[in-house]
Amino acid sequence: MDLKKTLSESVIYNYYGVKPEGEIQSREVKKSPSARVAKTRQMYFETKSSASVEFPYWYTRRWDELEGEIPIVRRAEALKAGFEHITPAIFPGELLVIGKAHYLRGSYPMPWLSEAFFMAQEDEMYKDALEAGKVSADKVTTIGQGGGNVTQSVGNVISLAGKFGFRKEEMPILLHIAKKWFNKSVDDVGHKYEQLVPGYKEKEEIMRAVICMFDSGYTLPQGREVMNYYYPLQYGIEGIKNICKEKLKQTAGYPDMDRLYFYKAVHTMLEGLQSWINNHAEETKLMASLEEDEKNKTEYLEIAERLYWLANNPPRTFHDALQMVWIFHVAVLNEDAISGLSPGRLGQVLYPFWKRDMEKGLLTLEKTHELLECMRMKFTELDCFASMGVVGGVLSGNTFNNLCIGGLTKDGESAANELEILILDSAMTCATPQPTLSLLYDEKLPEEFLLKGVECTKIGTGYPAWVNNRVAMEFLLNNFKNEGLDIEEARAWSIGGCLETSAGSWMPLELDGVTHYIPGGSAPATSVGVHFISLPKVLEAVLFDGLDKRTGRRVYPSHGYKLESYDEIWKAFKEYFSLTVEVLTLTNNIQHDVWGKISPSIINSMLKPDCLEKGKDISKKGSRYNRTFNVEICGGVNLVNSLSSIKKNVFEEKNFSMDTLKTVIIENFGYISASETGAYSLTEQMKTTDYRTWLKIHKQCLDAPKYGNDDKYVDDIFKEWQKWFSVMCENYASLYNEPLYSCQISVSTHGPMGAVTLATADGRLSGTTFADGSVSAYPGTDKNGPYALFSSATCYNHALSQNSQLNMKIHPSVIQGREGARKFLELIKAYLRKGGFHVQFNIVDSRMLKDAQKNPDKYRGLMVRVAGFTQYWVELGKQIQDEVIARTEYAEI
Amino acid sequence: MEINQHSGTIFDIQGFSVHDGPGARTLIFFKGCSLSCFWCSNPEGISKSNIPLYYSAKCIGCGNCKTSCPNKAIQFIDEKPVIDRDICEKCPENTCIDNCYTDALRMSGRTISVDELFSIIQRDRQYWGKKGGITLTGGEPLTQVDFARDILEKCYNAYIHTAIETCGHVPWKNFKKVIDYLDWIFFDLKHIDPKQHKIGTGSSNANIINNIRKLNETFKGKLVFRLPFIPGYNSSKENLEGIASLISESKWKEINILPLHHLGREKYQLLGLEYKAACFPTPSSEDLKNVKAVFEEFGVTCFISQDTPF
Repeated sequence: MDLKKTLSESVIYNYYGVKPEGEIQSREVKKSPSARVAKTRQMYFETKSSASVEFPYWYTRRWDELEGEIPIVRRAEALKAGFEHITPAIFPGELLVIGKAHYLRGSYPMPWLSEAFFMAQEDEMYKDALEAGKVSADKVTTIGQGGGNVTQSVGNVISLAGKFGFRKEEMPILLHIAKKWFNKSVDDVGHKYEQLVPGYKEKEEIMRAVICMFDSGYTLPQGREVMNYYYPLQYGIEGIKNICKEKLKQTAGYPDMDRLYFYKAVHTMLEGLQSWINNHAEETKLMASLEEDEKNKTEYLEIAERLYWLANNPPRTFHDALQMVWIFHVAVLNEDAISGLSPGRLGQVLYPFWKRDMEKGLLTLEKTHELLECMRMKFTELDCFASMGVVGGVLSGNTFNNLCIGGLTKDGESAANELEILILDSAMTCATPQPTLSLLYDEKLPEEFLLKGVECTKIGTGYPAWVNNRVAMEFLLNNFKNEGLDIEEARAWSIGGCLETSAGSWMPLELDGVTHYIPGGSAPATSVGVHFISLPKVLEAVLFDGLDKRTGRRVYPSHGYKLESYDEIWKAFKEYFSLTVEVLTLTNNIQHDVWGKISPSIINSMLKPDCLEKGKDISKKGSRYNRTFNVEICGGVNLVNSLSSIKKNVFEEKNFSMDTLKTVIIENFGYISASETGAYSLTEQMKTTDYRTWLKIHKQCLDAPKYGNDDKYVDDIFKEWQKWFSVMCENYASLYNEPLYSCQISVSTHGPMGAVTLATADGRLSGTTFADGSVSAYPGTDKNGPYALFSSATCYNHALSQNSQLNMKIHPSVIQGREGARKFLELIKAYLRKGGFHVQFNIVDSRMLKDAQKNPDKYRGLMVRVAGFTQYWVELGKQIQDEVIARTEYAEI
Repeated sequence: MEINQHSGTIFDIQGFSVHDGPGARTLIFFKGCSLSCFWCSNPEGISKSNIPLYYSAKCIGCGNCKTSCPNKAIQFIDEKPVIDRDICEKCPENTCIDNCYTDALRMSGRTISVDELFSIIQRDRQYWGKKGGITLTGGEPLTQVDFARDILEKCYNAYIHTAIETCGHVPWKNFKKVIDYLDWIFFDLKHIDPKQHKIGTGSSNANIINNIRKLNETFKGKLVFRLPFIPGYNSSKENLEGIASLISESKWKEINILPLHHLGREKYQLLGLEYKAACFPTPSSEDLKNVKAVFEEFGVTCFISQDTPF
């Protein structure tokens, strides 16, 4: 193959406007953190993700001891043992303390959820452990290229999932306890019952073909939800224990005895948390005694005193309250495999404490700023240890702790406050991926607040995401009215995870005799249910009558259509898609039911209204709102563009036949398939010697109307799909007997799901990444500018769905200066006023990203927005990096 | 609604333009120019007809363009097409473009009706924000004056802020047709010396200066002068003072300096033309500071580059 030629660079950079030349333009606004946090951030940069076996060891040991105990109490005891035995670790310079494990970027596997990975990899892991010591030191340097990811084993450190470092000597213990969960984990037990679902065979094939990305019940059963900090802030831990004691008296011996066990479990758990906090207090005291610097010593003693206090009592100050929030955030994360646990509208939750401290003169703006920076570091240090494909393939290592600002108060007034301005400020000076920010845009928000948000966007970290308050409220009122959600409660919403609209409630925080209504989550995990269906892959199966043409395996039964009209294609697509949703709904319901029985949530349940009132955990509909299961999709824009091309080329203009289309899809338009070259990035596609044969058809596919250009032809197809999708979801019932709804976020799935999908009728090549988000155009196909893109994106009502997602890349010069900021805000407002649900921006010169691919060491701190989350560039996979580079850049006009 | 049959030729519509008038705007690039400045950054806009752009990096030398051309305008030299653009100018067909499967040939320019253009503007206006509007640019919009008038009139009556960027080198009657529907004029000046003007742009400036005087008497909207600043061509103190003096005699006292840039260079390659401004340096910030000083001496407020008077 002498004609091997990669696509030229000009194809990869997609510009709207004048292509930038000269020096790479850096982002306009650059700031740095306070001296204290600059040090802790450096410490973070030099730290690798590390997993420990401590918690799972103690958990499993206690679990084993209590065979025969009531499951929820047994679990509480096991969790308590885990918490009690976490080695406390306090890191220098911290003002907020406590982490998931005793490493700075610590986490641990939870084999009770799924032990299959460890069992399957047992031999390899032993081998790895033996080989690790032989890796020469010069190889260590290459690991740095992945940022904090431990991408390969070295010395006494084993690489788990290409991300976590794990001590060699802990490996036998991990494998030992993993074995104990064989046939007992949620995964194993669930799997057994899933097989009773008619159509289970198809489910297996759907998973194998990667039409669906993963099983939510075995991977991340919780998350994509909003925390509620009300109870600990109002009552303190001892206070909540007292509530439990009262409730125990009221329920013991009465019908509905599950309540008794729930209260017992919560009480037990809280004891575990108390030991955990006190252990950290002890450790801090010890560190104080060893410290010679008087200032540091005092700081340590203050931290110790605060922890001792919070182990029993409600917070006295803003600093106390922030520490309390953090303790419970980590406590929930340690309870389950969770990604997307969002602090929600934290600036409004903490405002009463902050305001009181400021008025009393206990706190200054500078001190607040420093504390908020410290909080950013703690959130950024969080790692999520989930099953392997999930950490890389879906999450890109991100933990999605979304902090929301703005929105409305209970009474419908602007909820923006001064503390939120400081949150924005600290997110600019201490630019880290977590917590990511979302601004709940409402026409009532003050202009100065919005402009502050624009200023922060200019930093280039991708946050805040701009999210439409009114659209979200409409969605919530539509979907939760049966559970009694009214307009006041609709205002308490927040984003859970990267972009999931989540129902909230107003809780009456009493402070000095005044009641402040603070918002917090009151629904369990969302984005559980049917997880990421690859729409282009379903269409592929339609064209090939139910086969996964890549592997040759049959996924669906033959649809029986001859595909002689566009209508037949559309019908067959709807049938396959419905079949997919049906079988995945049923199997996922089983997974979550088993999860609720073996591994129920205790701390998170306690926090969520009204579990503590009702005496029911979240798996028993203890929460106020329970319609949280959804159907997630990926690659919608590629589906719609492909349908448009088929409609136009095959059926209307008859440029080529359906058979020819199938041939070019198999022939990959004359390019060598990515699975052969192993290069899945848009930049690395190579032509075969006979690519000229397919040139004309490829052009016809590429020239067919594309979404994102305000072209009615294709936008009508998009609209039809959206309307049908949002309605069909309601035909399926969740475990909690609530209808499903549609959810449209790609996270990082558009990379791996694209990788297994053949070429598509829109001209996309085999194995390459899909369009990101849900209303972002496919890179380079939005040729008529942002206004046309906005018009296409808003061609349907976004409130039909839990979300929509639009990612844009803008060259820094476009929004430069004061006038640039004002015009940028006008652009954002215009989109949201038209009914767009969400827009977020990468403010970056594409050439900088290209340079960062070549020289990762120069760009350790560079962050980009992917799809609903911000991540360090160096910690992203190459597929996703290339997709971000290829996105159309709105350059200077 | 009354159907408007007028149509014109444009080569681009760009939304979210932030540098050519107040607010975020939609720019409409008209084809055809009455001048041909050697530094022009939109050379595809000079010719009034649709013309093919040739992207050599995408060309695989298949020869489809040559075989499909009904007018034999394309020859192959070293396996690459060489286009006789004099023939292309007059060709109404699109065959070479349609038969280029790699998009190495793309047409610059298209015919659009007033109604179609107006519907795009109506769409865009929802995104402009508080200020914003349209700016006709090009090319020289007033070379298609009836089309320009129709679109400006429609916009003006629909409460849309209207602006035009003109080189001024058109008959006065063309201005007369549009000034009632204009809120804003960007008026380009290049050189005060008629001979030098002709060298740089292909025409003398007599007509242009005449039009400024007439506009001064009749145009009630806002006018901002613009000077493409080309060091070595129009950068002499003498020339700057001449322009400043001309402006100071008018009722408008603002000038926007557009420093030479070479961002349009690539387009010359696409058109098979030589880029004659390549040897001219882009101005230093020191140069620009001096320019500002000259204008301010004459009481003319001077805005450099993106530092605009709006």
